Amino acid sequence: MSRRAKVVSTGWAAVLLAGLLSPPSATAIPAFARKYGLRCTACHEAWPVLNDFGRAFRDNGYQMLLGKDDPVTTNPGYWPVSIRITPHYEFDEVTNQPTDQGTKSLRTGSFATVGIDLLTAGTLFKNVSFLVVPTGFTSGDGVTLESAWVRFDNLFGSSWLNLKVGRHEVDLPLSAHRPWNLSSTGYLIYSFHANGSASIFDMGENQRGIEYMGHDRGSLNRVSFSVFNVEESPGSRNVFDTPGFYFHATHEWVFDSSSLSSAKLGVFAAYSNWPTTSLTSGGEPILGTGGNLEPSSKYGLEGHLWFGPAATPVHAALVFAHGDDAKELIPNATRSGTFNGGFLQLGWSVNLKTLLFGRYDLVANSRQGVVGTPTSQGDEDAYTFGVRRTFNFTNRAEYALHVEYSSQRTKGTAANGLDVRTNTYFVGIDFAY
Amino acid sequence: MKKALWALLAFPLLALAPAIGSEEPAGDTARGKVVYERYCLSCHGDLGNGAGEFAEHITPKPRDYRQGTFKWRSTPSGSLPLDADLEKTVRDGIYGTYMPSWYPIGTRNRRDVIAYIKTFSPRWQTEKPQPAIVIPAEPAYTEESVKRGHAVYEKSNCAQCHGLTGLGDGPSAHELKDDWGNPIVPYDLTQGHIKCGDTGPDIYRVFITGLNGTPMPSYVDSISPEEAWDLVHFIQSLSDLYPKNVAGSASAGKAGK
Repeated sequence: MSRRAKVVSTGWAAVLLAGLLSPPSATAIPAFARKYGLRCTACHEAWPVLNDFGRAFRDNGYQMLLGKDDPVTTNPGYWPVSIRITPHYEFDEVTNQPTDQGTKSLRTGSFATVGIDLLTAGTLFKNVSFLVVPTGFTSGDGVTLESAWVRFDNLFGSSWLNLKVGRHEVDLPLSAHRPWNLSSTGYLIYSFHANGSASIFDMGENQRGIEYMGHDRGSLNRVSFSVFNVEESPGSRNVFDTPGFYFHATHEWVFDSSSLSSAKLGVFAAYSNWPTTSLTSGGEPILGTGGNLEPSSKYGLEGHLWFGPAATPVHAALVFAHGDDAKELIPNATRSGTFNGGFLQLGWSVNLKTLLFGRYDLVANSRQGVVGTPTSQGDEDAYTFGVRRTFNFTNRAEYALHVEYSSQRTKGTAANGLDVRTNTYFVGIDFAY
Repeated sequence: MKKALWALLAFPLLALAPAIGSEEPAGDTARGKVVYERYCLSCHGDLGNGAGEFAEHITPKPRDYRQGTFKWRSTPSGSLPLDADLEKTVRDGIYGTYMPSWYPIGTRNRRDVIAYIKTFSPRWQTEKPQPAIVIPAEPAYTEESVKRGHAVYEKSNCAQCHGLTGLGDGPSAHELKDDWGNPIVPYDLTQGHIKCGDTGPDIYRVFITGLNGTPMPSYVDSISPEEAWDLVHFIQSLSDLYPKNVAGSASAGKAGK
């Protein structure tokens, strides 16, 4: 096994482990429940995934629009802060890892070092909303400001004119910050790039920029467009550092039916840049001086069906996308790299306290940038399934038992072209207040 | 991958399926119970008695469904409401209270939860709602009608509760209680929003039906329809936010439609 292959493979394992040991922070916000007196179930299909009512509330700028949103109409004792934390045990196994003792599977299990999501959100004034989410608070990683934005809602009295400024999550088909799974496995299509691409732009990561968003009553028709600086970029020296763009539009049908309560179709597209050169000092790249920006793009469709009673639905979601990374982003490439993929997610709210969920992800390179590279090298797939059992919920707090298994595979990136598979077993108590 | 793409492209066809199939027009109380538990229970309580976990913190108090008494109706005072009245309340919410608009949850959910709400009171087993009142065509909003309406406001002693200028600060304002003994304050009519709707017919309906369960009586026997419209226009003159029908309506309509 070459030194480069060892480095690449070990890097993959480190990235996967780091991700797996850090459950995705999520914005399920009990402060809203306290403010409006509603239980978590009012806004969440199953916490933290939003239902129709929750999506409309979010799109309205965290407002009910009936004269009780402005902070001065709220009890002075109300404070718009919530906390979410998930103490859990996690066992991880990563296969085909290079060691001095040969290729091994690495296994580790522990009560994870969990962080805190400090969720502060609400309205500053009527039609001015905000979200600030510091996360982490661990001795090792400190604090990360995951979200920090202010939104000007219903400009000129129109729900079709809303502007959000700051670090925000683009309007994804399914939020990467509101997943049912907690193991960080999945939604691979959001972060995937053609094999070997230098770009690490991830649609699922929050971006610094501005978002236009519009919607009708009930948010049955929605459209959004974001312009942002690509997060994690080493920086570029143009007027707008490493620009990225994202577009999303959906239409939802709500049926007067007990067998199929609603359906939604949407389209989305992302276009991002990444620097391929940089000024240097002593031969080392200087951050923020990138040049020769090269693009990667991704566009696709989404579909959702909600079967059964809307209050306890089976929610099926299918997302499919095609992506392209410029050849300049891929070392030694003679052509752009392309890929196709997506995921199928199912969630069944058996009742208001029990959720069964599962997801299958698949992303495959359709054209390797470097001629001669095995077609499937770098392909990824994953499956996740689990159960969440809420013990209790009120308009103040909620806590749930979360049990999950997930498995993710990356093809041909280990020694001798072997696959790297990561299995994760997760048991924990997820609570927010 | 192609299969996934085809599945996505087939979504519009799947979406059409319910429109083709037969539908149940009646609300389902079993499904409605789950809807109620998901959305309503924290205020209205699991017994429908308006004593949910949030109720003690808010004013006005959530509706106690056990008496079958409802404020917002198109039916005469004392009558049960029509399903359309309950649908309007659930769909649009009540301005200035903690009752939100449940428009996003869809017609089916609302119909089911209304069916379930009706199980809390035995009145629904023994009585039928009376027909909706007929609201005559609205005359044009004019300065003259506003002046006449002011006179009706004084004649009907509205100021006793709502105050001389409609601020809700009349002499009796701090003595009022609802049928359940909870303190209740007269509405500030100058806000530009009325809880049950801001249009002329919305306000007219309140004068004629009254707000059952509250001190707001029905004036059906004490003011004429013409006086009621004048009073509507006077109320609407108290704020620029009210929509004003300066052209008048061509034909009569029914409340709740």
